Amino acid sequence: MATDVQDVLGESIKRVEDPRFITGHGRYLDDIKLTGMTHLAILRSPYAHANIKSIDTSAAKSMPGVLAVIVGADIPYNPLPMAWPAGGSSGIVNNVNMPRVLATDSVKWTGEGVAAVVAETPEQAIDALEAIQVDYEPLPAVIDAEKATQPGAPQLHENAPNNVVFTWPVGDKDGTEAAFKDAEVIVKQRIVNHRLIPNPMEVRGDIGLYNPGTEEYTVWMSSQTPHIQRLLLTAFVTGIPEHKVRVIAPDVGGAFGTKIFCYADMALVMFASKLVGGGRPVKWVESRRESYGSTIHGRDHITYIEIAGKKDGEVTGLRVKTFANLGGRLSTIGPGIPTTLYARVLSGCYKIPNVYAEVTGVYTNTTFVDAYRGAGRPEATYVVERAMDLFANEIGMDRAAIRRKNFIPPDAFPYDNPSGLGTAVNGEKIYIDSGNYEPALNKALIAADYDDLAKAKAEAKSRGKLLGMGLSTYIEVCGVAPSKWIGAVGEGWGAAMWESSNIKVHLTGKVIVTMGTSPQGQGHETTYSQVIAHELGVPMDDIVVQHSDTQGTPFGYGSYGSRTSSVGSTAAIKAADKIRDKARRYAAHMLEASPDDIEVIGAEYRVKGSPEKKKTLQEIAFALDLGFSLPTGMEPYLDETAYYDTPNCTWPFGTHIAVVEIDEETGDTDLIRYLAVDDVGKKINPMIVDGQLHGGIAQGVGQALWEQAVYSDEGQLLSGSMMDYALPRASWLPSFELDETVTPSPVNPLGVKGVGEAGAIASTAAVASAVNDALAPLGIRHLDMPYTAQTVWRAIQSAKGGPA
Amino acid sequence: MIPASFDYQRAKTLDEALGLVGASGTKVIAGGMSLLPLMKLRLAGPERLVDIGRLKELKGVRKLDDGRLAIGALTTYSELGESPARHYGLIRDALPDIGDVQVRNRGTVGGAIAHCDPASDLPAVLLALDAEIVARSKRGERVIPVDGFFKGAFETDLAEDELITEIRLIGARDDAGSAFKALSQRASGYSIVGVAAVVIKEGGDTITKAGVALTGVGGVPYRAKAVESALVGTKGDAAAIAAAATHATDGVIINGDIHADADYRKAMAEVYTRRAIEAAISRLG
Repeated sequence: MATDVQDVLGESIKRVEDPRFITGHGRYLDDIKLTGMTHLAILRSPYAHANIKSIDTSAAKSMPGVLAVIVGADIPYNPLPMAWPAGGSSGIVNNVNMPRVLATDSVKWTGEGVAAVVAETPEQAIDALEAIQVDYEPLPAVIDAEKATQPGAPQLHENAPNNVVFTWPVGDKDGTEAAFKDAEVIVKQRIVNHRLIPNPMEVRGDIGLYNPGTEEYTVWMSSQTPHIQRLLLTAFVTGIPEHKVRVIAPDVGGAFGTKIFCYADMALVMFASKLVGGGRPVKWVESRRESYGSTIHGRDHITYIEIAGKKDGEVTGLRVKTFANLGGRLSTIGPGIPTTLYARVLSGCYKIPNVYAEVTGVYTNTTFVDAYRGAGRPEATYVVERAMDLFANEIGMDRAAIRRKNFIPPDAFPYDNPSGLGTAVNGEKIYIDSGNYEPALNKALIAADYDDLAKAKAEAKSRGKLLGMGLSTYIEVCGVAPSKWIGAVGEGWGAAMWESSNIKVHLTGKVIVTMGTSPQGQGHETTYSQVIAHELGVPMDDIVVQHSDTQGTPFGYGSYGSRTSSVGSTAAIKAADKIRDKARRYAAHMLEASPDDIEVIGAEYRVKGSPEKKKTLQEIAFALDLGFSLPTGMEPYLDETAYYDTPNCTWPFGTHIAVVEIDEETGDTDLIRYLAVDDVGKKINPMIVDGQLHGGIAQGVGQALWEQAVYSDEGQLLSGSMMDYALPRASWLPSFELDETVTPSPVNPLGVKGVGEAGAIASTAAVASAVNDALAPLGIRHLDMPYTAQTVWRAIQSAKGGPA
Repeated sequence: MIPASFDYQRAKTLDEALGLVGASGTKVIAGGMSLLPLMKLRLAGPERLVDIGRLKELKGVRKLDDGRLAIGALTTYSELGESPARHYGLIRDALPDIGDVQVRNRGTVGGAIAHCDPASDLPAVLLALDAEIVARSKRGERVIPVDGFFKGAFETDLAEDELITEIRLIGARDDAGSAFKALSQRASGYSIVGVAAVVIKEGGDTITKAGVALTGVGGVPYRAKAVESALVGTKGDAAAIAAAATHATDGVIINGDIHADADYRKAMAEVYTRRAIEAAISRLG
């Protein structure tokens, strides 16, 4: 190690994970083969709503290879826990109904688990499922969240009248009412943010292994949150002591939020492993089709927007009523998504003085809904961006100009937004701490040739195409979250949200960093190495980053909510600070100098004024780890742990512009250009940032144009496979044109904000804006997504007076 | 996504295969690109599969003495695209949108026809070309005109004990133009509406023969004979094409699903019929 080690922070270093991922040497859940492995399969309800009258497992039990057939009544565990009721300390009633490990009395959606088979092979387990006889009493179903709250709708749960989970008001009701009374212009619109199926490349799965000798369990799971799952599974579900369970998330092949949660199958493999053969390992891996019905869905809001303002474009009020579909029972943090992560940021990057929202969480006979990439913030962005467009069109103002007029100005930060971010807890305040929105907008408009839009539309029209350009000026809440705000007394999340890091510099000078966060393909091993290489002055090759195993990593809350770079990296820097401090004190001991006289240059610890008197970190680690000679009171080993609770979230922002062309005859809609100017603060690895933006934009575009979960009125998932659920494909997308502005976050020493969700948050609204812009000349004011060919064609026909 | 258990036999010769097919509970597998997904979803559960995939005598494309093209039933989509069949405009149009690379490398022409998916593109292509299908059983060989071969969804004129051995196409000719145009369902890639068009102007600028077939629209791919007869005798100008295209769904019970209801399919059938005929005529040079 020397001072000439290249500083890799901020460089587009190739990902250290990729050699194993792209050469087939990753180790995902289903790659794990254990001696004596057995296989579990779950029988899932074919009905969206039914009472279970009886279950006959006798035939299945005698099928070849079958070791056990399990029904809900066999399992002494509690239902899954609700970790985030809506409303925190505000006294909001949440009518909570959680899934059991297997349903006992009734099923509430097609795909809810009813029975399970453990067999010697996966084939035998699946064959035996067909031999289980369940006597169902079918009940009427309801799938639409708004209809479910109407009188006469089928009722799902006794403790939830009208299927309401909660009703959560936020903001200033009276002030907003007054603003509407004084308004020169009011625009109203009902919009639907339709349901999505997340589709990570690797589906979910778990392996349970019980050791009867130690009474300990090891659970492998494809998870974003191994520490949280151990806590939830022990303290809330199984009653097994926490220290008797080890949870490991191996390589995780994508998640998009779906793997944050506590699922029934996790407890099921634990129960089954103890049941069969006194501790044989039990593996469950969902099929893609099974995943479509039993892993969480995203979005699914019906929202009534009202926006008020003046004819000169000043927006003075925003009033929103949202029905949030949460499914047949609740997922782990289902209610937290359409409340804290949605309604609290409804006004986005605009200084709208009066905002009031009322969110109703609703049970329906559908798969449970929880956090999916962006989680609440794409829904909020869609609402406020559509509202701004509608308002601009109503008063005949340019869509860019209305945004410029209403932006929170750069000198207004920290900004206390009116939908209640700042009113959280015990007098503690959360602010939008930084931003400078107009430069990003201007940059994007110039790159998109916004001023020549009319010309482009005319040219397209001559080819039979309707061209539209859409704007989305978004903000994001990243780096979730200060515990004092998000925690139980504030927003209702039943825990803290700090992060942790341990750094060890071993005898040979090699560095092992263990993290409480847990990656799903983002490249944490690369970016943390870059940060620690920068902090300690060691080459990246001398650092390994370990994670995702409750044995050997400090407790952490995991990776979601674009929190890893902000909260996780800061924990790592705090641990590095401690390492450097101890190394400095030990260098002083070695060099017979005062610690205050030691200066640190990269990995060299020098006596000020005598640069030839120096020790490298490697020399310090070797001596200190052996510990033959220690100053009084100093413990051997260079081994430090830090926990870090962020004082605020981070607030990325930017402008995205989409350009679409619609075939006027068919409604077929193509995205022909996509530009994004994002401000995610400083970047640890710009290539990884670009990759996150690309993926996020593609997913958001997918929602706007192609993806949609469709249920029949009886609650059958009609878009139940990739043959009917259209995921975006590379060939359907233009090459994205990315640019940036850089406003460092004041919250953390790196100035980073987070980027995992930005693309998905911004792009759906941008494409929606573009399609509606393209259709505006036909007199169409608003069209709901997704803009499939048929939907757009029908709108065009209807506008032209044809068949509706 | 694990199929139920089944017996499996691989035929080494055509004669051996003909001796195995026709037994009850038996399905023939070639490329497996349609059958295997159905079995994995347990929507199909044959007791026995007879694998004809390695019968070399059913592979490849050759030119017959009369100029026609004979396509072996086990020719894959990819092989078809590299054969002389690529000179047919509508085949060149249709192939890249069938499945993905892996499907095109394994899926066979004969398999696609025997499977008879109502939204499959190749049946429409063969209908427009007025192809002949050669089938063989232990009882002998018969040549079946493609018009009438497709009976309904997943239902053909093929007897239980028959195997398709060959498909015969009219020879390429300078006075013919052809095209295939489709609106694809984004998720599956299958055609919501697919239209194959062949137009012949024998010895002049008047259309003397037309073949127009649609897939995805009704219960089975079909020839739109009213469109064809409306075209013949015209010069194929824009007005004549537009008028002919209005007959695209005459007498057809139109499908509806979550991607496209019957109204939309009907409208698109007309639009894509027009576009396919226009493209076919534009290729007449």
